[in-house]
Amino acid sequence: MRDLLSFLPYVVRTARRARTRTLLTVAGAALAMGLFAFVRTVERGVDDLSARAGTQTLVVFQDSRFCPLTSELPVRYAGPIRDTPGVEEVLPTLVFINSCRSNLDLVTLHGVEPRSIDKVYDFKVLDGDLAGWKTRGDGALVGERLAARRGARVGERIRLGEIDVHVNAVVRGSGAGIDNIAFVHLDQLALARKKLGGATQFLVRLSPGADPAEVAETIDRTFKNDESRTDTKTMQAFVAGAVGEIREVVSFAKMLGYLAVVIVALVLANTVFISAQSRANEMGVMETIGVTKPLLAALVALEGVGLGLVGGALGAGLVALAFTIHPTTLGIEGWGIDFHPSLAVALQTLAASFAVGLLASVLPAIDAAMRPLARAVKEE
Amino acid sequence: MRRVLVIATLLFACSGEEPKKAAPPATPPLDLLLKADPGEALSVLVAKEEGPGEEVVVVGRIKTIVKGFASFQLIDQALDYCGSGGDSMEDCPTPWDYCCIAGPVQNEHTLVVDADGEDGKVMKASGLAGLRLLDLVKVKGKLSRDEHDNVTLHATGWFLVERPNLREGLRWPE
Amino acid sequence: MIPIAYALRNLWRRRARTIATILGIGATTLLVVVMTAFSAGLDNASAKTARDDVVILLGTSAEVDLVRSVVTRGSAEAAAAAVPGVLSAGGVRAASVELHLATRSGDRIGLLRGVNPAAYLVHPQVSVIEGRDPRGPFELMVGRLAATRMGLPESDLAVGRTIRLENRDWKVSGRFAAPGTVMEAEMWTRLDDLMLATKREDVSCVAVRLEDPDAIDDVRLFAARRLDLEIAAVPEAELMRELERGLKPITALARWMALLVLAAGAFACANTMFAAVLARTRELATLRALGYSPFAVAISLVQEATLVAFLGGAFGVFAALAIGHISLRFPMGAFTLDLDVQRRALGLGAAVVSGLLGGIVPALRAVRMRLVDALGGKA
Repeated sequence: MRDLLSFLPYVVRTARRARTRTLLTVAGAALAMGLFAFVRTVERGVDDLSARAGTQTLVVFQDSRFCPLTSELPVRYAGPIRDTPGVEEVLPTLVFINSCRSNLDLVTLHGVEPRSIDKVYDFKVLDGDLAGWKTRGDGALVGERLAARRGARVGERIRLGEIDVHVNAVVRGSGAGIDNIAFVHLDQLALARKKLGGATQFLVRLSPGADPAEVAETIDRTFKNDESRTDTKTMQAFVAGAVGEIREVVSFAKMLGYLAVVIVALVLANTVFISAQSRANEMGVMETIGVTKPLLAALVALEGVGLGLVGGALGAGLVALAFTIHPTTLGIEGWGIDFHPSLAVALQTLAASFAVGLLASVLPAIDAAMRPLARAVKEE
Repeated sequence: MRRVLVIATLLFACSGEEPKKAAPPATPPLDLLLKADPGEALSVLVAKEEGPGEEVVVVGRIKTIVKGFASFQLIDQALDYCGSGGDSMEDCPTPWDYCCIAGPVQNEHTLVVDADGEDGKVMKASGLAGLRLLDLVKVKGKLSRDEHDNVTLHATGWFLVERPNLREGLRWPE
Repeated sequence: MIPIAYALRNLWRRRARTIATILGIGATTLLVVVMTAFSAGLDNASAKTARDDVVILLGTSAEVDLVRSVVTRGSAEAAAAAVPGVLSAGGVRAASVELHLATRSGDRIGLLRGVNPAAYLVHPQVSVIEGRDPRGPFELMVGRLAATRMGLPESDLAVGRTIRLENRDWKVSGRFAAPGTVMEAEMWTRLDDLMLATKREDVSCVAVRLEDPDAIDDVRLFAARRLDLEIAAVPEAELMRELERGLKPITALARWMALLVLAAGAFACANTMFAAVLARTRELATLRALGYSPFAVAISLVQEATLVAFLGGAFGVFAALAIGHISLRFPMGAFTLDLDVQRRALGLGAAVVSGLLGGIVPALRAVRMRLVDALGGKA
């Protein structure tokens, strides 16, 4: 290993000698691995949202409804839900979203009763004050990402959706999607949306030890023959349902990401082949002075792996930079899928580049090493 | 595609014959724009209540301009458009849609203004000769009420009272 | 001119490398074909296929979004009867009162549209391909992409099958095609049945087909003057554009990826050719010494590059042919990636062009090198 590393300057020099070839290879690898990193980032955003949704919170929605704008349940349902065994707290919520489809400027408003909010949600107040919001009728608690996108600061007045609100605090939540939501008073939103007495959904915090499936079934049974039938699910299942809409597209993109990796492999293989071949003479000489065949093979492989890694790093770096300069949130049915630059994705991209570089270099490396000494020295 | 053909025909027509849809509608003759303030005016709400009768003057803001016709909706100035008055957000991108006000309330405070041609039908026009959305105008004319209880003001002239100071960079509808 | 056999022999001489390059270019071509089909598929699902003679009357507070549009049944019927300039055929006015709904069955989301017979006059793109339109209670006529939209196998929505939606059983009475439109992902039923099943008293809109597309202004005037109906007239094309805006993030994604891939492929080709030249400087110099002009040498190199690129492109095209088409669902819709002749031709074209471009740089280099240096192996 030490021998190999001591030859590192040689490998670098080799690459620098064939400047154009190296540049072209690295560029091609960077682009393809950039695509890979991009797809991974999107996938991660989707997984992240689903993962943050827990199973200890239930969502009571109207049966057969899909978009929050079309689900209508009477607020009076809160009483019977609260009385259901296993339920610790209920939060009636009126939801407003600015698009049922996908969009890049998602605005999601949750109108809730102020006193119950911290019993159902866990969030951290980054700036401003929660108590102030509870007493201010036109106040809003704005999620971190939404605040960044809309440039909302504590103390300012902004328009979100169809109402004007006073920003009381900027919050960050551990639960799914909170960073892209603004919480307002239920009454205020109900008035603006002409839905007094109505709610979109009820968030249910379960008592410790309660069985989510059982409680969900009980709730649905309660309202089976009432004004609007309900469909109760864990938050996790609920989010999965919404996000499912985009999964097919993401899987498809993933296939493309893999295809891109194949391209990189072939580009690298090609380059290494050519590099080794053009230095056949040189390698023959090295063999005569005592460099062993395995070491020779390793040197050849090192170039491939090195180029792959550099390309991968560049590609991952570009993607990370793009998402840092331009933080993006894809709204699907009111849920925000955040695309963050992440270390995990960068590392995965590097790992993939390494693996690809290695695989691509194996054959050329072996080929170079297996060449009989006499022939090597003689070749042009 | 049809428009391309129309333009092409216009450009290359050899004969003096004008194709049926060629001529763009003319803007209403400027004598509809009154030079002097017509004086006291009723609010839209009051005018609607009063209904058909003698010639009246109604004051209000232009809410919707019907494309291709000398027709628009006049809304009572008592209603604030988005970004005017109070704490309302100043950077609303489409202040003329009055989206902050509920639909039925908007309707109650709106009446239709038509400039009729000699045939009694609404005149065709491209734009209102200098007037734009949210302008505060006084319109002179006679009111009519149809079988669906919609009140229309048949304008004989209008006068620009005030143009609101709207922010730069708004994307006005065509 | 150097005979083409030289180029062919060269490629054969370094088989492994040639094959690797062909595979690489093939993969790139396939990606280009797929990405352009993706982009086109999304485009098709929106504005491009809107008819210029169809106007939609929406509820005024809908903000150009059909999902949020609510019109009372009474107003809708009144509007349908009174709107001017409407096409009429066999005594039927082409004014369709419609209810558009997204329904959820478990995790499957379907798009339902409640219509009356006038709908088929307003939307002539819809043609029944199997069975018949819904005539009995709670019958459905499903579009070709409806199954994809719901994530179900095609057989689940075959004619005669039953599906449970809105807590009711619906029987599939027929299938329809409406190529390139959003309607293909929908399931159509009678308006009354849908309103009954969903306990709704309002509808979404009135879709109207005009005798003369230029009469749209008259429809706008009608909507503006009938304040009692609380409707706004929006041309179908404008509505579709709004829908497109919702898809923009995904389309943008697709286009960026296509670009990245194309660039990567071009580099792959250029890379190979460049390196190939470098390894053969002495050989190329010899050709020059033998009397072939620099131009002839350059042409030969470009030939080689283009040949490899063409073979790679062909390989990619065959792969695309084998795949045929892919149906995908996305938020509130579904579309098909059609890897058709146009896309394949584009892919092949892109491959050949990248081959040409990839061959030019090394060709120029080969032309400019000094004969003496090249022969001595020092170029």
